[in-house]
Amino acid sequence: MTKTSLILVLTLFVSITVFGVVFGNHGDSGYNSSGDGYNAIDNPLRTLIITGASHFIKSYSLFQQFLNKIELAELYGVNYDELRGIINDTLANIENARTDYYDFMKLASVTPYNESFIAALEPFDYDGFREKNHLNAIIFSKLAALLKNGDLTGVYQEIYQKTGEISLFLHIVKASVDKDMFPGIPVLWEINQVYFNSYFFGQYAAMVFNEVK
Amino acid sequence: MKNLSSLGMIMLFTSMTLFGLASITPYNTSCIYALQSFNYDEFREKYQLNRIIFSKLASLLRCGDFTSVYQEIYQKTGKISRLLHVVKASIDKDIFPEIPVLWEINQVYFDSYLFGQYAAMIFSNIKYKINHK
Repeated sequence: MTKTSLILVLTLFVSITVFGVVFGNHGDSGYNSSGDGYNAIDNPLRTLIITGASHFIKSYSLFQQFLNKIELAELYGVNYDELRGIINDTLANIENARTDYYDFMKLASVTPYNESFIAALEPFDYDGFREKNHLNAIIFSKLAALLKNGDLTGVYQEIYQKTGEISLFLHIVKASVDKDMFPGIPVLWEINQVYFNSYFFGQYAAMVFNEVK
Repeated sequence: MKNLSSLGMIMLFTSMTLFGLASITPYNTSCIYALQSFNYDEFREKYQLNRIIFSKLASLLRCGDFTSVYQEIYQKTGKISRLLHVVKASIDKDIFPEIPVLWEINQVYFDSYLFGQYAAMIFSNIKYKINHK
């Protein structure tokens, strides 16, 4: 019985500490929000970070599906109905992510910072961390500049702005596909670039927050 | 999750086939000349491409080393496949995968992806120039 209880406790401990660390997570530790428990349901800021990340990742995943169809079009032809379905879902998810980050910023603006977390961000060895984990210097330096100044909300504001940029580009693609026109490849390259930069910005944020925490 | 490792194997196999085929096919010399004289810095600036990833690609193409671009992608698919097997090993035992491994896979995927995308961008640009001469 004791052994079973121990296994149950260990399993629960593992499951509550490993979730939600892929994109922008742990930033909620920088705020004195209500409910410091591990469960996201206790903490509205954490919930918004997780749902925002989920929508962003889903949107990017759908965009890759779209690119896969575009890539294969030369071999197998184009199915515009299929492309329309994918691009509409991609847009819906990026808009949902945008709403989540907007709500996050609104809530964060009335939530005081957790001063000890903010204080730990300033002396953090950003260069050492970047070197150790082989992170992309250009993307990481932008994140580090915000965090060195303790501008935690600025991190999510940056992601929010990028979701707006992606949404605008996706509407250009949608406009083509809605007319049964093959989308311009340079626009697709540009969208991919913005997704990439935003994704890593969010991932690096999660990595730093996880370390600081 | 079985799909995860089979996808990695397909990726690896496709790259291997492409790489093998390229090694026995002669280069198009006008294309190689265009690659050597291409203004890489200007192209990177114009499209605001990631400097680190782009410079690796440019260093290969400046030497006209076309096949090495695909060799680089081939090597990366091998690394991704190995890392995916680490994740698969955890999942197969009902163990939550290590998050740092997922971060690393994501990083390798993205670096390889943009490397390939930038190559496509340059090749497309050069092809357009050659066709409109």
